[in-house]
Amino acid sequence: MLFLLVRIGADRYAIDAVNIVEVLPLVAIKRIPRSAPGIAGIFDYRGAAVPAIDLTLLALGHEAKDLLSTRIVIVDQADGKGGSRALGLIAEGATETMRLVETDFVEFGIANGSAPYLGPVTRGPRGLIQRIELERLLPESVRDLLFAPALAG
Amino acid sequence: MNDLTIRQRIVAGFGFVLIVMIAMELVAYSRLTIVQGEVTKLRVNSLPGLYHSAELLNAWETRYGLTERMVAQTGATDQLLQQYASNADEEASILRQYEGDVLGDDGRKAFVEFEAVRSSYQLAEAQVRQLSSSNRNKDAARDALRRTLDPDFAKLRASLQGIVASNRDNAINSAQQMNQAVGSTVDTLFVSFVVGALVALLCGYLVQRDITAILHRVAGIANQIAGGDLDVEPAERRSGEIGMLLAAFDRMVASLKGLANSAELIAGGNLTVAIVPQSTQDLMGNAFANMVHSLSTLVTEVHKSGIALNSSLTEIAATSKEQQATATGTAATATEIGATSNEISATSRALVKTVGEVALVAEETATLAAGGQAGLVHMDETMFNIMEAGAVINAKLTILSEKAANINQVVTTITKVADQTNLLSLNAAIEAEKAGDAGRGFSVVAIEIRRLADQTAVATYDIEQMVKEILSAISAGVMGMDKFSEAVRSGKQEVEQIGAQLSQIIERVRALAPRVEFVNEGIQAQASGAEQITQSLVHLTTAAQQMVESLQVSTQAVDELNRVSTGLRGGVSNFKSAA
Repeated sequence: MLFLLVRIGADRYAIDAVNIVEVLPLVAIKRIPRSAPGIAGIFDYRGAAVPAIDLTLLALGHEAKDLLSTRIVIVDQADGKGGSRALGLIAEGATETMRLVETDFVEFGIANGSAPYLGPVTRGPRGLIQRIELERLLPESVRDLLFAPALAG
Repeated sequence: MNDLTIRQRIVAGFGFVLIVMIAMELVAYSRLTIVQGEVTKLRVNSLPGLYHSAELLNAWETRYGLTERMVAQTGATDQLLQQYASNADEEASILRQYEGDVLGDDGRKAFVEFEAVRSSYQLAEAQVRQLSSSNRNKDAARDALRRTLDPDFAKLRASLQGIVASNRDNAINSAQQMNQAVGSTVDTLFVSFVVGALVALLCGYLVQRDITAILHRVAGIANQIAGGDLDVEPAERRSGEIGMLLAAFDRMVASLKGLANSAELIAGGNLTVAIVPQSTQDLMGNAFANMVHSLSTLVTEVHKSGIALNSSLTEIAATSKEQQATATGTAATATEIGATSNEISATSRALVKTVGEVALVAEETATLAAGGQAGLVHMDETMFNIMEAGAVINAKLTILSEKAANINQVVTTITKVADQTNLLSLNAAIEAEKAGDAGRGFSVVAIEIRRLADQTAVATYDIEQMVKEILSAISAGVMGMDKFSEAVRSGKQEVEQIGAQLSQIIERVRALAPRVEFVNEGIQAQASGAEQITQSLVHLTTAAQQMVESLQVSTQAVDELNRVSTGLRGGVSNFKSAA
């Protein structure tokens, strides 16, 4: 299985390539004041306003650095009602892919209630890699809020 | 006679003279009163009567003359009549005045007779004048004149002559009486003067004789006392002023004897004598009391002073010996100073030589400094060249910096291309994965592309680093050049300052030459001064030796003085002081 490797802080994380639509360079993000935690704002993707989640902001509380390697990863996000929607993830160090075996990932045994999107880990050539579970990335309430305008539209 | 006081004698003598003078005065007064009466008579009656009667005789003579001329003259008689009238007025006036002068019964009788004769003459004269008023009767008038008027005029003249003679007799009589009275007065006055003078001489002689005798005696006593001899025999008891004077002399002698005894006691050293002044006016008593008091104080003081003098003399003797030692030391020191002064003189001569060398060195220094100044000017130019070269280097570095910035831009472009390539390869790999087995080959290509992109990125990173290093090196070089320029500029300023200082040094060194000359003169003057000091010190040494000798003499004098002081204290101890 192919995974896109990203960095949050100093650690490396993996996103399943199956869910990835496209990797884009960092574009201008329209900020949304007083939004839910981790929401960086919205941006224009092929004529549609797509919400963007800053993984660094979500996990560590500070915005991702503005580097060439910091990119927007467009993923398909299940809306919980049988459909899916495009969602932008702002991630640092999104410059390489890696082929990993599904069974190599193991639960590390520490329950993490506040960050349910962090899944099992595996060993990579430069240390441990933790998988990001996209379906658990947003709480339901936030997901409903994000995708409600689309339903109405 | 001896019992009378001097006052009584003088009063008696002068009183007797006074009585004589009063008697003389009374006699003179009575005589002179008579003279005064006669003089009054002479002045008031006799002399005016004589004068007026003579006048009257004259007037009548004139009148008779006028009548004769009238009778003799023919023609105008107006002038004669006029003279006639004035003569009549004059005669009447004289007659009135004479009436007051008539004196005595004889005079009165003569005057009455004259009046009768005058009346008869006037009648006869009137008749003659009547006849002579017309020219025809001139002969008759002449006849009447001869017959009646001439006898009447003869009687009138005789009567008037009698009156004149009577008046003359009166005047002579008065004068004779006056003469007699004055003569008796002169006699009286002469006698009185002689008597008074004799009495006064007698009284004066008596008084003078007594007073002179007493005063001679008193003067003898006073002379004896004045000569210091107090053994005066007591005077006999007498009353009056002389007695009082002699008693006062006795008291004075007694008092003086008491004081003399006290003085003897004091002279003998007994100062406990009690001197009681008789009053505050008693000069001698007070003076003796003061003297005893002062002597007591003096003796005490002298006693104390003798002791103090003794100790002082001891001190003076010690001091004198010390001074002697000091003077000897001074002489030795003076000799040493003389040697030192000679050394100073020699050193001064050596200094003169050294100063000459200093002048030479100063000239060399000035020359060297001038050479240094020229070198500094050259150095200043070099510094300027260095500064210009620094500016050129700075410009080159700026150009280099710009080039490096251009390289940076190229690197950025390469980086962007590599980034795009990486992104592309990522998306390609993802797409190939989604395509499954069909995309397997494409996936390999994508990975290869990404590897190349990553290598490019690494290479560009390296270039970027190098360019950054170059840029920092350039900026460091620019800063270094700036510092260098600054250092060169400040060095240039310092060189200029050093040049100015060298100029000053040259100036000072050149100014040194006359001062060195001045110093030279001063040192020579010092050398000659030192020689003079040496000579003076020789004199000083001689003086110190003389002082030693004189101090020895003064030590002997102090010893003598000490002996005298001891004698003085012995003499003072003879006085027994009341204090």
